[in-house]
Amino acid sequence: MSIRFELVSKRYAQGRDALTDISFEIGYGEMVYVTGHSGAGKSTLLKLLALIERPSDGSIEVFSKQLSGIRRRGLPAYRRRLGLVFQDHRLLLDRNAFDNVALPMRLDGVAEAEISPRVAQALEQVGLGGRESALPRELSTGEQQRLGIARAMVGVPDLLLADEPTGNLDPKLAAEIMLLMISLKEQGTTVIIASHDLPLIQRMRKRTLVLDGGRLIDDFRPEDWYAGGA
Amino acid sequence: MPEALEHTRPLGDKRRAWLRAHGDGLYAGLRRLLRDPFGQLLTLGVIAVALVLPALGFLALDQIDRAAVAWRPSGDLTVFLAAGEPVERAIELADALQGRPEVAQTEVKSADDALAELREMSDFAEALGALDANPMPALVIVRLTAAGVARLDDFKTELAARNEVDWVQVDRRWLERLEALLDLARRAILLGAAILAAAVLLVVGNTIRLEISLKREEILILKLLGASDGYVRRPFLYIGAWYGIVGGLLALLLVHAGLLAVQPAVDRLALSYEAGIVLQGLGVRGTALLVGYGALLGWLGAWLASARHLRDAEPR
Repeated sequence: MSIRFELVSKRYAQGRDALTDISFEIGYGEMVYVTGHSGAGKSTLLKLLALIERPSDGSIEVFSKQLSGIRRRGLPAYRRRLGLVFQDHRLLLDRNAFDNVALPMRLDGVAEAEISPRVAQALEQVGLGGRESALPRELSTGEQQRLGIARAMVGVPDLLLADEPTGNLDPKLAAEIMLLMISLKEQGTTVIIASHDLPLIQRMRKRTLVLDGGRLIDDFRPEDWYAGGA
Repeated sequence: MPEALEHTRPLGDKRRAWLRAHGDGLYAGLRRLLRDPFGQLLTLGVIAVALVLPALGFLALDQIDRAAVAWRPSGDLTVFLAAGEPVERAIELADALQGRPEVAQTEVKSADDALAELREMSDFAEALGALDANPMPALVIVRLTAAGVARLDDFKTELAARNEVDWVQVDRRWLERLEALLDLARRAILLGAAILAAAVLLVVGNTIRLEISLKREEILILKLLGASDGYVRRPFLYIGAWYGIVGGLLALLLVHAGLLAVQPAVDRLALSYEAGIVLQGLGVRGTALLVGYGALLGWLGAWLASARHLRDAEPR
């Protein structure tokens, strides 16, 4: 299995239960949506996978490795295997589009000769071809979102975690981004997308974990979609 | 599947990426300093002052060390000839020594002169008067050059081996006093330098702490993307090193300005001792040491601050 959650709970210091007894498994190269209302625990689930947070109870296994075994020193190497898309983009404001997208590969020690064409291709794929030298502040919110997606995808990560990746995009562009993520999945990347955009999720017809109040209340499989579920 | 996707980049790529990261850090640090050089004047000024004081102190010691050789009040070596050797042998010896690079000046005293001097200087005047014959030999008092002082022991052994010489006495008193004084001054300067170095560490550390707080968002993003602590810390270390380098260069200017300012006073003093003294600057080695020391202090201050404050910057 690519990812295994076993009775995972997350309780914040204020006493709020963000997740309670969550268990599921995701296979290698699978694409999974996580949906639910605001506060359902979608972002917390992604934060646990990115090791931004640690579970209060239960265990999480990613690529056959217990995340509890990864200490502070091991975090960078683990995170370099991930692609992260954030709701608030998290771009480096004093670096241009090219350098923002190139960053994960530079951190990974990829040769510059290899970086250049891959960054150009990633920017082209998200519709930002020719904007290499633009600073984030010169881009619209939607463009910034696409820049963040290009950065997450450029290194072909083992696991892509996207938190509301299409929140600022029009439906046509959102669908194109989803197709890009599918192409990434086809290259072997496990893709997990947290989204409350139900129409989009329904159109994509992929496995969907439904959270409510921190509990996993449903796990729709593609076959359920085709059987007319949800 | 992904286990097999463990990233194993070729070593050459990693080395190039590492070098590039260092090059970027070096450039980014300089750019940061140049972006607001006047805003950094306080930090740079503190570093410069902290470097210039010990540098001037050590320069002064060096000057005193050299000047003392020329200005010392008495001879360095007294060469006693063997009993019965006539004063002419002492004069021949003095003439022979006069051409040597180790020797600045010689003075010959006959046996009678030596005895008279001994009578004046000691409480044994009566006892000496009771002697039938003069027990004192002729002697040569030798003042050494700096080169002679440097090879004092060898020179003494060489003189003592001569047939006409009975023994050679080294007047170490002034040397020992001078050495003790210089050693005391050296320790005081080192202590002052250590205190000032601590001040530099604190000032640079505080500047880097502010830099880190300004760059907090960027640091969090880098950590989320898998940047190692070393990668995140690197630009701050280079900023610290640049502070030290520029502070060192400022200190260099101040040292030379200081030397120019005191040269007229030194000239007047030297005139009264009938000795020409030109103050020596730091030279190439001293300059490299001063700037390198500044860079090291800046780097260390940045390292201490970044180790403390980057640990607290974790994405949430």
